[in-house]
Amino acid sequence: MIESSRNICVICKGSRRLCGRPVCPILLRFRESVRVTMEIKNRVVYGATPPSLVVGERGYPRISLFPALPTLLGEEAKLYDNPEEWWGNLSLEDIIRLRASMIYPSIKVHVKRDIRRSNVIDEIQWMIVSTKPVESEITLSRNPVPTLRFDEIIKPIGPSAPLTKLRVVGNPSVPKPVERVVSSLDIRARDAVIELYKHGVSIYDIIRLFSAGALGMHANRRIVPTRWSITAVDNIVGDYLLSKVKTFDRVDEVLLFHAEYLGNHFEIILLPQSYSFEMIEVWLPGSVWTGRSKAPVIVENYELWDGRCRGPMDGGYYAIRTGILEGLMGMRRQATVVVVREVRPEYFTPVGNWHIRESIRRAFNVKPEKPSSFGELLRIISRRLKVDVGEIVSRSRIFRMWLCQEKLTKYIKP
Amino acid sequence: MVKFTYPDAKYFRGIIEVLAKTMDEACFKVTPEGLKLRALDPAHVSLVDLEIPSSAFVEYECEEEYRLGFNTTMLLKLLKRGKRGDMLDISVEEEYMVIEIRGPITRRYKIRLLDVPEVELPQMELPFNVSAIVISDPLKNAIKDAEAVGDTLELEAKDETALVIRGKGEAGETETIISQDSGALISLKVSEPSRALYALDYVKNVLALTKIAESVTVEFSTAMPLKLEFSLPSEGRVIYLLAPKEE
Repeated sequence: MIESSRNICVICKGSRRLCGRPVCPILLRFRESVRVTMEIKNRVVYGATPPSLVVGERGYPRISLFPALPTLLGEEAKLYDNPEEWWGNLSLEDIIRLRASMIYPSIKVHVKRDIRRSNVIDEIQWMIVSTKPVESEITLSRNPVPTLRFDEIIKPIGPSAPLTKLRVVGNPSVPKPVERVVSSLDIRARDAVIELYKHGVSIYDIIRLFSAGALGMHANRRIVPTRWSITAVDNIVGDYLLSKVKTFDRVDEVLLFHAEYLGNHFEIILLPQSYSFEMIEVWLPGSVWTGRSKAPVIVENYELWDGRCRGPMDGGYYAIRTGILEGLMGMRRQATVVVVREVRPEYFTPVGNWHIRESIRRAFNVKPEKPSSFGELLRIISRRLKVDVGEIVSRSRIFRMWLCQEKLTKYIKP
Repeated sequence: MVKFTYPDAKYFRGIIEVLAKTMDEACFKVTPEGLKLRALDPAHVSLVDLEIPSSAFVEYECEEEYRLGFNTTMLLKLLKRGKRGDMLDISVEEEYMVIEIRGPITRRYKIRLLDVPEVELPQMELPFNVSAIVISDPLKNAIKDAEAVGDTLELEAKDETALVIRGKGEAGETETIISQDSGALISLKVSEPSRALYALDYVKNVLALTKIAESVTVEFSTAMPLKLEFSLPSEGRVIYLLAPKEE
């Protein structure tokens, strides 16, 4: 979006709000990056990593690792990488500010060949197994240049420079289940993920371990780009939850949940049928990625009882699916679920897909509405959505199936 | 003691493929007369009814009724290792189903038997106003064409000259006419002109069988279920029953 509207940005220079956004994302991130880069003396960064690790995917299998850290110490550092804590408390600007004020030392490695050969990777793995901030000292080859990159799946990345030395100073705090799966060399990555999840390890910690190559059979361990790790972990956890959810009874009636955060509004509709799931994403004009489109852009993806998504693989879809399956697991019920995600212009820059997963999780914490008919359901959601509900119904495969598909049981005579 | 040998592992795989697309777990009922399976999908929209008489097997040993419950995806994964012409042995060893694929080399697999609850499904008396026998290949292509444009399959027979298969969706429409002239239609009986809609998501589950059976019996009526019957190469048949969609 920022790329596509570059010429208006040149005319505006951050002061005229030509793009229609409340704040200029370019200036916002720049100010923070400048501040933090000023604090670095003699190319040495001393701070506590939350811990935070971003693995790029460009050039795979020779990729860049960014073990990130703010220039402060102690528990406070945790906030720099803690989506569960961010949700509902931080604004889009707050998140950009936090992410832009970390330093992202970079190191280029081969995902597999370097994993047992490089001391830096050993040190990074040692650092990221912690679930609490770890004091670390990083030496850079030059002082970092202030920048910030945005992405739909991963959290924003700030100022960066090549790393020459990394030293873990503090003592990582490693929970028992993490220590067990990281040190066992004969458990498959899939099983390790499920094991950790079952023991209540946060999905964000699991993703970090997965991408650092700390999980899986010894010979197969490799570093995995963060985007891929997020979707892989969502997929593994989701399939595990689905195998349980399928054994539960159906919900008794139509239930409706909703949540909103960072200009993303969610309507979650549970229909009393066996499990299937559909996501309908509505990108309103002016939100990220829509370019200059004047009409809402609608994307649809779905899966039936077997849990195999029929459309293209999509990180946002899997993040929603994990949240939904966790919700159903909590209710000990199965259902046919339709999720409408409406992305509004307030969401002017992508900050990762964590907020999608978290919004869905939080939606289930509130008592659901119980519309008495399909018509009433549509009336309720049309009051909260900006897009025309008719458009959603006509695009939704699951709604159409719900309204039109007969059951064979109807033809069985008692 | 239960043991049976099916002459072609590849064909058997086709049958299991349809099961795997329809349900997670299934259960073979093995009796001295043959192999049976009858189950609904989790959404109760479709039903698979399989019957292979003991005479279709190369070897068949079964004195009393046995129930072999299994995970369909797991069994399919193993059968995918088989090639055309490989023989398939299935037997039971304690709590395992033992699968042996015999070709130039013999492969042996064991999967744990599952306790799949038996659901009593009464026979359905469905009046079919249209009954056609068509060559599988044109039917397969009609389904694939329909899938390219939409999510609904429409079947229509106005008289006994042709069966029309349409794909309908937002993107457009396709139409395949299967008539006696084209050679794709073996027979067509229409007692009342009929037209009905079915969800392609379900119809395409049986595509694997169109590769095995040369012809398919297609039966339906307006706003009533669709019945597809596939005859297996040696003996036996698979019936796929699918509830209609409303307009």
